[in-house]
Amino acid sequence: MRRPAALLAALLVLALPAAAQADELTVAMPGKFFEPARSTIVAGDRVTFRNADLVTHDVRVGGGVFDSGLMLRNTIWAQGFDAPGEYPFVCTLHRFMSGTLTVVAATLDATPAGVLAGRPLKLSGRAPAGTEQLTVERSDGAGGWVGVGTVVPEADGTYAATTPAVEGATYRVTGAAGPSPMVVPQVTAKVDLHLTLDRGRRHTTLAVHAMPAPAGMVATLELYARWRYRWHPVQTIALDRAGRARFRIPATRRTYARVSLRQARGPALVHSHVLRTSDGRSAPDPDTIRPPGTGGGEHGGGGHGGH
Amino acid sequence: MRRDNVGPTCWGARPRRRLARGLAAAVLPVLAAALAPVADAGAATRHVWVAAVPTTWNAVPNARDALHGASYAAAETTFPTVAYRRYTRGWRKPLRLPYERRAGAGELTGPLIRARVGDELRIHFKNLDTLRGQAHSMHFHGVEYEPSSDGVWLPLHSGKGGRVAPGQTFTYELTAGAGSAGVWPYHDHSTSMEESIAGGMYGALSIAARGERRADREYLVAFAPWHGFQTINGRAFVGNTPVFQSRVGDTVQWDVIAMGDEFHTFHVHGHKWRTDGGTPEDTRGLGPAESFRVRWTERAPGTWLYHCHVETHMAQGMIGLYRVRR
Repeated sequence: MRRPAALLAALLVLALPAAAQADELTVAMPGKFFEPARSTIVAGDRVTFRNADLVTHDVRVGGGVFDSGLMLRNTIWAQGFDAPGEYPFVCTLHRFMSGTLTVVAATLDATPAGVLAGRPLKLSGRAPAGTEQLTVERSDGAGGWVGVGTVVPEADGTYAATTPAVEGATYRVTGAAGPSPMVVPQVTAKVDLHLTLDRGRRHTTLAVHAMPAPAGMVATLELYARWRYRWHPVQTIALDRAGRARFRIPATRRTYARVSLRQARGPALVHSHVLRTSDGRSAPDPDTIRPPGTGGGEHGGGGHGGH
Repeated sequence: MRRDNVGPTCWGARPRRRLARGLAAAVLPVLAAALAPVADAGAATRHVWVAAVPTTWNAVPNARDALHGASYAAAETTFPTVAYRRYTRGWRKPLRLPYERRAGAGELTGPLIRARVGDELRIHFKNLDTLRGQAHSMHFHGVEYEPSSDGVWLPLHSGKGGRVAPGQTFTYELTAGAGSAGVWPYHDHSTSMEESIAGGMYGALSIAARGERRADREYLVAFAPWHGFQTINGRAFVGNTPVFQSRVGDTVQWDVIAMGDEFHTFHVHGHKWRTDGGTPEDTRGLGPAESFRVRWTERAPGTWLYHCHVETHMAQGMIGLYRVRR
């Protein structure tokens, strides 16, 4: 399915504070080693090598592409890096002193780490200062890339955009300096959760059914702590192949219940509706209860208060 | 007159009990400390180990003001600070006694230090402030001490206890004298006191009269501002402030202190108590560093509010829940 106009429209550019210059990285030589030995910078950044050791060193980058010459103690040498690539560097006086600079066309992070398909995925990072435009791309499943929108970075090159998450997709941004490294966010197909409650004399059984059955996901029963005004996870179990799981709580437990789905160590990706354990009836999420007149009635949306 | 220091965990004054208690203290010092409230029939020398430690504190862990429907991001409510912590002997490891958990004490506020009139207190203080690297002290209200144990910084006059440098220790020697029965605050009174108290460096002494039976339930209510919130024991808004619990028939004791620059009024819904003169009241005011305790026998099952009745303080978080079960 190719709907570039819709996808472009869905891409939201967020403003971030600007500082119109490239970043500086300092690599120190506090002894006979580089600190940090491995770094990633953006094309156009400058790196300052600082000899904080008691003896003389030098820095030869990329087999001689750049060379500091002899650096006496307490001296610095700065070099800009404009072309993306891997730049190993070494002190030729102490060959065991080595490190690597990775110069990228742009950095790229995707948040949140786990997200449901179709939910907003935030892509952010930094491109070379002065970059006029970046194209956000995702893999098309056939070895190619498809543009899903454009973003205009701030003057210092920082950028952020959101796009609907696509299951199994890889993302990158491309600008004048070339493509960024790729990121593969954890995107899970949309899941519908159905929760039912069966009250027995001694126990109440809560059964959850995830449709379609998601692979490798766990279900967590959460009960509402009425005197603490928050959800508490009670028990986590793996879904069976049919996407089902059952929980049992004492019949005397009178509160609200819901079930969340997540990858084994990930954040909650989806919550079921809320049931009252006293009678099994659906109820609004207690966390959304608002006093009347504060926006949306008694069960309004998420207000935000300052102080 | 002060009694000699008779041992690090010996609180028994009756010779027939000394051996058994000494043995128990040697084998299970933590358990022995926890049992102190029921074992303090006679005067004793009580040793308490306290340190000023850095911590990160969230005043609104449920991220909500449930009464007003407001939500808060963790970044708005979480700040690094320095607080008093109870430790085991020799500051080996942090310790929160069971009665302190039930009282809502010993988290941001310092340990709830219990004693009985006639007791000697040895408060062993260590400054472990690696957050700001400031000097700190402990200054106690309501008890008797020499100027050397005043815990106050006074140029040309105060000793080491008024300004304990990071990494240093000091032992405050206190006497729970006649007339000390009740609840009293303690707090930092060193060169950093304004910043330290605002960050939570205060706590309470709870001193029982001779022969007085301890209440079944004891709660600490410490009113103080914190980063724009009005807090009880360092927390703001219902669900975050302590949820005190009791049962019908319990005797309950509320230890109330105030720190900071403001006036507060303590109020519990559905309950009254009597003043020393016998007058019923359901709200009592107190200013900075003032304190009192009130007691009653519980007869009112249900979920009740307790709060400061200065209404802007209540709106800024100075409110909590009291749950009474049948």
